Amino acid sequence: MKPRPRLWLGFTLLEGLFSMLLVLLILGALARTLSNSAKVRANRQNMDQAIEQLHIMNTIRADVMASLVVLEPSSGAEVSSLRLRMVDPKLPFLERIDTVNGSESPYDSSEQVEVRYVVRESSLIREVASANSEGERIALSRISDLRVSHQGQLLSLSLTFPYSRVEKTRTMKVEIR
Amino acid sequence: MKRVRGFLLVFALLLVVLVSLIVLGMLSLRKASNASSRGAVGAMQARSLARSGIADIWTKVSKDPFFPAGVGDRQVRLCYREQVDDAEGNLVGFYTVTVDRAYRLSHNVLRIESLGVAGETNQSARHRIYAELSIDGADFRFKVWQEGAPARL
Repeated sequence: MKPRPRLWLGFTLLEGLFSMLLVLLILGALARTLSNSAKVRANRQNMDQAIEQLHIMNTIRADVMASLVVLEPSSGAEVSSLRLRMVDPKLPFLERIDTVNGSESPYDSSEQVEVRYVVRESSLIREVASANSEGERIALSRISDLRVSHQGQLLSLSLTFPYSRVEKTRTMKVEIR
Repeated sequence: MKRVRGFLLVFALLLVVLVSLIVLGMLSLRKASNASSRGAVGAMQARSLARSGIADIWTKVSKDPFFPAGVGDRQVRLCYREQVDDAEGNLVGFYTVTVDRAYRLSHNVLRIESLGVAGETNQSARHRIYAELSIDGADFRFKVWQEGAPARL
């Protein structure tokens, strides 16, 4: 009985090895890309958080620098909110010095607003209360704690940001001019 | 007749195509997120540059209440621009400071606007700060400070 002839339509061992090499190369490149991508995502997340923190601290700093009076905390005290009195920056200068509408002083008390930073329901809220216009209330960020202390001409702020794995506390000192 | 068909090379080639498509898709996603991060960093740089402009004019006026020297009272508005480079000499951006001295004598106030621009192109991030500096000798300080303000001067 004659053996049946075999019809070889497959590949040689060399071709098989080459295919395996290609697969390994591709999987290696994919693993590397995924690993880099995860690192980039983590770094970007950290950077986004840092930018958000900087933005909030810059906003508070700008308000402190523009403030005429720090209402709260009083000198020597440490509290969990910040209250400032400042000129309403939305009022145009010419309107503020117009004697028809009031005093010639551009910093008249009727042209001032009170700005307050307070933590409510784990959010940092910036409230603006004005005698002339409707107040404003903006939630700036999720925050778990705000500590403000006032020593002489220095205002120290400590903000704690709650993130999924860790809490980050940022501190800032602003000179009251 | 028994037919032995090869499949590994075909499979490998298909895998190459599939993985290439996945990687290309991921790279395009990363490109978009990188652009977004660059935008956020640019905004922070522009803000810092604008603040540098305000700090610069504050220093100049605190040293010389009649800054700029040699300019008469008739010229009420002046503007200057400074370029900011990093430690390696690479361009970070620039700030443009505009000072309105119209109320210097009547109200002891200098109105200041500082525009920070990160980078050098028209598409660069920009940030504007408007401030009023009281130049009353006993009360030399900013009394109005508005970040991200529309152009006033």
